[in-house]
This record gives sequence, structure tokens and C-alpha cells, in this order.
Amino acid sequence: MNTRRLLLSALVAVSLAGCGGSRAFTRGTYEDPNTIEMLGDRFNENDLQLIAKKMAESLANAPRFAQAPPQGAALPIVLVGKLRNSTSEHIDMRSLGDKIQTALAQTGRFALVDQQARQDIAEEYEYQQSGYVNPNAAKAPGQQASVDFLMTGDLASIIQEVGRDKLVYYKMTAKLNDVRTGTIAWTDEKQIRKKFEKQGVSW
Amino acid sequence: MANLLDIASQAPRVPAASPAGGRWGLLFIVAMSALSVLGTGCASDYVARTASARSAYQSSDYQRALSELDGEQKEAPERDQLLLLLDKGMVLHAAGQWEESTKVLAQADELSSQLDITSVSEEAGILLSNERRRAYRGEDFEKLMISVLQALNYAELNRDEDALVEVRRVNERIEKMITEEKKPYEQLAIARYLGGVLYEDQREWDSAFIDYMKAYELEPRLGGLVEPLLRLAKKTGRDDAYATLSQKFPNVAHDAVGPGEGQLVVVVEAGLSPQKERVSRDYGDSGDLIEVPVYRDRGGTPPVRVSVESQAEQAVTVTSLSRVAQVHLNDRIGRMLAKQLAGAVAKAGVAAGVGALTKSKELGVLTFLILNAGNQADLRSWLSLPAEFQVARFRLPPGKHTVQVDAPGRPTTHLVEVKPGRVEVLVVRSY
Repeated sequence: MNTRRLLLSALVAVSLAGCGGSRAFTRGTYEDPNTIEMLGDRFNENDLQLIAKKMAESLANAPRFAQAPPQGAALPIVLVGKLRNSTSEHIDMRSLGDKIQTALAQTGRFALVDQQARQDIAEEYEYQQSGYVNPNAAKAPGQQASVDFLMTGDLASIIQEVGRDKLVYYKMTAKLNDVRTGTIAWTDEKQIRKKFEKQGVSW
Repeated sequence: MANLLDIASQAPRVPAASPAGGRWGLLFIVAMSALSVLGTGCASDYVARTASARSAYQSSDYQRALSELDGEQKEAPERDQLLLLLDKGMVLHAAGQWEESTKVLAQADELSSQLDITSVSEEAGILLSNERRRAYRGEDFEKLMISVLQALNYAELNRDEDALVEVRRVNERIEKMITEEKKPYEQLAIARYLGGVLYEDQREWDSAFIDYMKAYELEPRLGGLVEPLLRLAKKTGRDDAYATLSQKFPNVAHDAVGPGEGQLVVVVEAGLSPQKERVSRDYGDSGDLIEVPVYRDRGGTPPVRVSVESQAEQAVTVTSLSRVAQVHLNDRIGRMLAKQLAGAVAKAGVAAGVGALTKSKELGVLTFLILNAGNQADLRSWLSLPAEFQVARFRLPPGKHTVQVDAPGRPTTHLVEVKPGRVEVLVVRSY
């Protein structure tokens, strides 16, 4: 009897194996975005936060910027420019740039210029000069602050897979270029190394 | 192999568990027959079902092809989902809907990674049925092609950084297959050549030289396409390489690109990728116990001539997928045969059990024959892929240019804009 049941069960399993239905997410909970969850081997939001935090702290504590400028003196103006992605993953580098920009602003040591907003501001000048706005209050081109420093960077990765282990190494190098002299005013790097065990078999 | 039938027919005669044993045996056969029908019938063959969509695609009627594939997506079983995404991604790519194609191919890439995990229940099921019941996972070269097409999509969208990500992914994946999985593959010349083009566009001369050089090592018959290799060997101070290459290609002009010049690289996806067909391994009169597929070419790939105003060039084959497909499938045949053998043994075991339970040698043999009747090679493959990637390149003054691509019987015209100092990529599908 048991043998029969076993055989029939096996055949039923065969028939069902190819016709499975799709699964949907039906319930969810809010999670703390600062909680470290490594659900996959890809670059994740925690890596983004680690890099931004390290870069902002390092820059704010660099000898040249560690002391807050005297009362009334202008803060150094920084533009977070092109951060290159040299990895083999699609990473939202704009989001990484925004994260660094936010972290830098929160140190209170820098004034920041947003590259993405420049086009919008140019359009706003046109609107304000169009006659719709009080001419005495309208803003016009020519008054924008001049950027002192331009931040550039490069994110590289090395991936090694040995047996069931996968090692992922990221290195973010950031540079603060003095726009007037073209010299590098500061540079630092953040390294992240993660190890994963690959799943080869499932039920 | 004919011994498998003997196993079924010479099953040990065990006492019937109950007087109802004969009835159980009959019920069992009926169940098996029904399940066998269900097994092949819960969806018919993907290749046959999508023939009309493929016909529209090959006639460049992309809207009809997409509409038919959308219809198929609603009906198709999960095991064919990867193929559907691959075909849809390729049709969108051929139609010049680059952004949409990147999204669909990204889904295919994600699904392909998920399917790489071996499902024990699925494997067990396949032992008693056939390979067609397995979720299609894609041949290794097909997985690589996802990234090649993505790189071309991103290049067309002028998203060079994303295109380079895909080129690096191809190279990393294939390196892993070669070094870790010990597969007898080689890198794809088209991915390397495209990497060279993208790095050159980004003015990363060393990286560009390295990728062009690798493409040349993989495909030494690049002809005039070695022009940037010579030029960059000189520019990056690789004197030995430059001397060797100049000797090999004395007639390839390679002057530095002037400030008022741009370049155009035309990638022609030509012909139709090879198709799998069944080849039976017949062992005596016991039926087709083991079946494995082989690739068959679908006609020759016509020569394609590309002209831009007064310049004309024959496109050069950089990668032939027909050849790559053969190498990749041959590597898999051994494992496929081993699995089919295990399946035949499992079926013989079930048949022997039936013979023993029903005390009937004939029912045991019949069970084996019914189980094995469904044994069919898996003939699914990504049929919308081209047979070859061909390349032609030009130096042009900045501005808009008309490109004529002459494939036999189906010439096409394309408008491109070349910028000074940049390398523009144009992707064209030809059948």
C-alpha cells in the first residue's frame, strides 16, 4: 500500500513540477533603513551609507577643513561632481552623490551647490525675467556663488568566486579638487569587503 | 541499454498486497497515462507556439511580433518565462526600443540568476518525465548574450557607463565559467571589441587598447577593424606591440584621429541563430531511450555591406554565435546523457515496481514504455538571436550622416549624428 502511495505521489509531483503558479508579496512591514540586511550579493543601501558617512567624516576632519571658519567668514563651497562607476554592477551613482552631499551638508562645514539643480535654476531665471514676477524682486543670472571645490570619485570592485564562497570587494576613492589651482585638496578611500555563501540547491 | 526493459520485465514477483492489486494496477496505468498526457499537454512546445511571432520578427514586423509575444506571456507556463523575456527583449532591441529592451532583458537576467539554483523537486520530477518539463534556464552563451545586447542597448542610449558595466559582466561571467567551472569556452570577441569602442569613447586609451587586443587575439581575422589597435598601440607607447602589429598589417592606415573627426561603429546583427533539433540515440528495438539535441544552422549568413556617403565597407564577422553555440552545447551533452541515463533507470525502477505489484510482466513493460514515450529532447532555445555579430567602422566629419546597410534583399537606411572626438555606435538587425 505504501509503495503504491509512494509511486502515485511521485507521479503527481512530476505532473505539478512544470505547472507551478506565480508567487506574490501580499504582506509587508516597515524596517529601519539603517538596519544592515544582506539579502543578496549586490551593492546595497548599506554600502551606500557606509561610503557617504566615511567620506563626509573624513573630509570634515581633514586638517584644512577641521576648524569651522570664523564668524561671518564664508564656508567653502563644494560641488559633488561626477562619481564614476567602474564596477560590473549597475549602481545608482547619482544616489551615492546625493548621499555624500547630504552627509557633507550635515557636518555644517561646507556650503553645497547642486549640479542637478543648475538647469532648473537657469529656467527659473528665464521665468523671473519674463515679466510675470515683480521686476524689483526678480533674480537674474550673474549672482551665483563660485564653486571652490569639485568632488570627483570612482567606485571599483573586484569579485572572486571560489567554490561556494563569493567575495566582493568595493573601493570608493573620492577627491576634492581645488577649482582655482587644480590641485587635490583632499582624498580618501573607503573599502568594503563582503563574503557570501552561494545557494546551489533548493527544494 | 536494452537491459532496462529486462529490469522492468524481470521484476521480482512479490505477493499482492491485497486482492484488489489488479485493480490498483489498472488504476495506476490509467493515472500514468493521464499524467503523461498532462505532462506534455499543460502547455505545448514553446518553439511551435511562438512560430508566428518569430515569423513577424524575421519580417521586421516588430509590433506584431511583440503583440503575439504579449499574448503568449499570458498563456505560457512558468517554465517558458525566461525564453519569453529573452525573445521580447530581443524584438524590442531590434525595433530600436532600447530603453524598453533594457528593462525586459534586466528581468530576464534576474530570472536567469534565480533559475541557476538547482531545484531538487524539479530534478526528481524530470527523472520520470523529460527535459521539456524543466524551467528553461538558457544555454551559457545565451546568458552572456543578455549582457551583450544590454551593452548595445546602453550604447545606443549614450549611457556608456552602463554599457561598460554590461561588458565587464560578460567578461567576468565567462572568466568564471572558464576558470572555476572548467568549461572549454573562450571570451566573446564582440564583447571585447565593444569594450574597446566604449573605452575609446571615454578616452581611456589603455583600457581600450587592452580590449581591442583581446578581441584581435580571439578573432585574428578582423582585417581593417584592427585600425584602432594599431593607433592606440602607438598612442599608449606600446612600442613592441606596435612594431609587431605594423608588420602584420602594413596596409591598414591608422593616423591619429583629428580634432575635427569623429568615428562611427556599425554593429550588424546578421542572420538567424542556430536551432536545436532532435537526434535520437536508439538502442535496439526498445524505442528512443535517450534523446539529446544538436544545433542546426538556419541558412547562411549573408554578407552585409555598409556605406556612409562616399565610404563603403564590407562588415567583418567578429563573433559567430553558430560556432559559440556548438561549443557550449557540446560541453553540456555529457551531463545531459548522464541525466537521461539516470532517468531511464528511474523509469525502469517504477516499471519494475508496477510489474511486482500487479504480478504482471506485461504491465511492467507497458508502464516502462508509457513512461519512456514522453522522453523528448528539449529543443527550446533563444531563436531570435542573430547568427553573427558583424562590425564596420568609419571616420567621419562631425554632423549628421546617412548610413546605408545593404543586406541581400533588405537594404535599410539609418540617420546618425557623429560628434568630434567621440565614437558613435549604430546597431542594425539584418536577417
